[in-house]
Amino acid sequence: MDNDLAIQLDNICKTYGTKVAVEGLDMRLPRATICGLLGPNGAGKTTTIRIILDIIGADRGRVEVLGGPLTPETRDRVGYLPEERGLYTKMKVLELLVFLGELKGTARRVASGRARDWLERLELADWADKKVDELSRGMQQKVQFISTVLHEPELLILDEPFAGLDPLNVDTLKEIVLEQKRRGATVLFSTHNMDQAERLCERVVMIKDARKVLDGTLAEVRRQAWLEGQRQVLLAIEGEDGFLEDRSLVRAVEDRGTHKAVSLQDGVEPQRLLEAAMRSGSVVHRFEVSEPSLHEIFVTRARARE
Amino acid sequence: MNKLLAVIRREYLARVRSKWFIITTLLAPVFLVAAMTIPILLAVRQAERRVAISVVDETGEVTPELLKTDAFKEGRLRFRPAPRGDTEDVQRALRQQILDEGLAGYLYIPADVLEGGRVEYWGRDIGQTLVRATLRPAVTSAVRQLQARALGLDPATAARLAQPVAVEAYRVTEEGVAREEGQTVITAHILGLVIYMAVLLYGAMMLRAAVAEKTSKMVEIILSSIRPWQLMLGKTLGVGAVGLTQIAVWLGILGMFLVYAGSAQAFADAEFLKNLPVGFDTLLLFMGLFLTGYFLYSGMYASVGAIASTEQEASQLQIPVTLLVVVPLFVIPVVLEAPRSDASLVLSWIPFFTPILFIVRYVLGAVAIWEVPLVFTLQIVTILFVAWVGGRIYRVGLLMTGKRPTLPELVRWIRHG
Repeated sequence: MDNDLAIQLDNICKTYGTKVAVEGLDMRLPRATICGLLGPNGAGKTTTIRIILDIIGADRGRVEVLGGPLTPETRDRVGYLPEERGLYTKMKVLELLVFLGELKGTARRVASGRARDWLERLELADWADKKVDELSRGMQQKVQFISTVLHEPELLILDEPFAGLDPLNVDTLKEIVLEQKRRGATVLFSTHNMDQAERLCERVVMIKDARKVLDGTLAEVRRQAWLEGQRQVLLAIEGEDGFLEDRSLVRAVEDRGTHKAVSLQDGVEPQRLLEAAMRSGSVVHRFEVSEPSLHEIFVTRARARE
Repeated sequence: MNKLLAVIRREYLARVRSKWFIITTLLAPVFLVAAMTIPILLAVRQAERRVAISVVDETGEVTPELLKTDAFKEGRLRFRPAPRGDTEDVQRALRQQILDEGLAGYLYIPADVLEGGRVEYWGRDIGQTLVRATLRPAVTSAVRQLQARALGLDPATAARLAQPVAVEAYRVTEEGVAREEGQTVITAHILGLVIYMAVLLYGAMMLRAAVAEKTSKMVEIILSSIRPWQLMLGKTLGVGAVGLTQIAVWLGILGMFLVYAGSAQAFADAEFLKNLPVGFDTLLLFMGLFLTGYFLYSGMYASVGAIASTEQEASQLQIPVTLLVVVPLFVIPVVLEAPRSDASLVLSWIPFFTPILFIVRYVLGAVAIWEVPLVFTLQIVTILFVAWVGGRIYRVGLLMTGKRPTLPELVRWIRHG
């Protein structure tokens, strides 16, 4: 038992009928970190999360949460925002939050006070006594988010927390996630948005086809990709850029405003892109071979065949 | 424990506060009173209405006697002379009159009526009350008068001969002897029906409660905090408390009604209410059977709710369970007729039928005292079994959406759940 770990998974396996959902997954998540759980659709992220929370049981393997097996007491120290989320539509917002707080062992009065503070902060104070079905989807999502932090959990597990929110609300919730981390909480969240993951996470775990394909701090993961020869070229040019359309050289171009991040086809040396740029007669202002972005690493991993 | 209370409170308040609950709680007694009084009022009006009938009398002697009977003197029947002529033709004409709505019906009295010939009544509406309570006594009385005269007896003796002999029923029980006017049977029937309705009503409530987490997509949020059995138990107790609240309100209204009615002379004199065979023991048993019936069926309804993904789907899937509640409803008449028969005994012991049939037998005084602990033991064992199976189905079913499980899959859930 390791008390410095928020989550420890050893050789987790889960099959549904003939479909393998998770295969031999190991994971060690230190406390007070923010970790992104990445992977294509159907890779096994949600199953992994459900196994951590003992909503479904694993066929094999060992799960430890906050330094031990998941007891009812431990459960109260975890906050969970599922991907498939809703609210009792006929309940009033404040009552619902107090109820969900109570389910986590928070006393009614404490839960009520905190819920009011949170509603205030997320600009929902006027809605406290309204029924949930009068709220917009975005508002409901904020209420769901409040319910996961209301009991001040030590571990937060968020499944696609920002999906469907406008940029303002995404920023607000991100700020709260960072704040939770500063408070000492561990955050594991799954996302498809690599930019968000890159900006928020210290660690990433990537699952593909039921298996883990990446695990480490962001720096370690980038370093690993560099060592495997993955490169991205940051390019700023003036003039003809038709050579970027050449599919034998370039796999994808991401416009970042001041420059473009160019992903090369497998086996293509960055040098050849520079040659192509020179031949086109454009003026090259910037040509920098860099570590690939998380997005780039994700796409490479996701496309790789075993 | 606090979490369980939170679930119970939520389930309870969510229902008790709804408009539907308030409406049904207050309106049900109104409907009940209406259901009880309207048939009586209708029967009274029916009795007050005069029925116009003709008589085709082949003897020629019966009609004058018939007109002397109470039915005609009190005006319940009104005599409409029939046209003269061949009886076949007259009857055809009268039947046409009946169809033309002028005439309610006519009596055909054959020539050999004094020697046992059959009297016929032809009419548009053949009400059993009309035939049994009005026509039969009137015709009997008239015919007896003629028979008596033929034998040389005086009219008073003839009237006595026409009277049927009264047979009074007394029920012999451990508590003593009571005059029986059918109130025991009616009470037994009503108590059985009330349990039937309660099980169905709160079972359906439980069914909807069990699908609520799925339709609102709250399953995972809830299951990350509490265990499925806590959710199911909390729901069962919460909905059960709703049922008890509703019944308490209804009993309160009924009580006020009886106190109010009790002050009215008409009810104070009613033999029926005085002899109502509902003692404290009956009420206790009734509450006990209501509770076991509720727990038994709510467990089954909860399992059905867990298999379904939507309320519509749930209401299709609940049919087998509801059939199980409906069967004893159809068996009640059998038990009322012969509460001591082997069939009644065995049927009332079958746990799924016990809540409804056992109370019927008990009110009829057909239950041996040792049966009570036996039946309740069976109830509790069955409830535990249903809760165990239901809990397993519920646990797996909660996370399933979309595809409905097949029967073999269900068995697998139960075995490995």
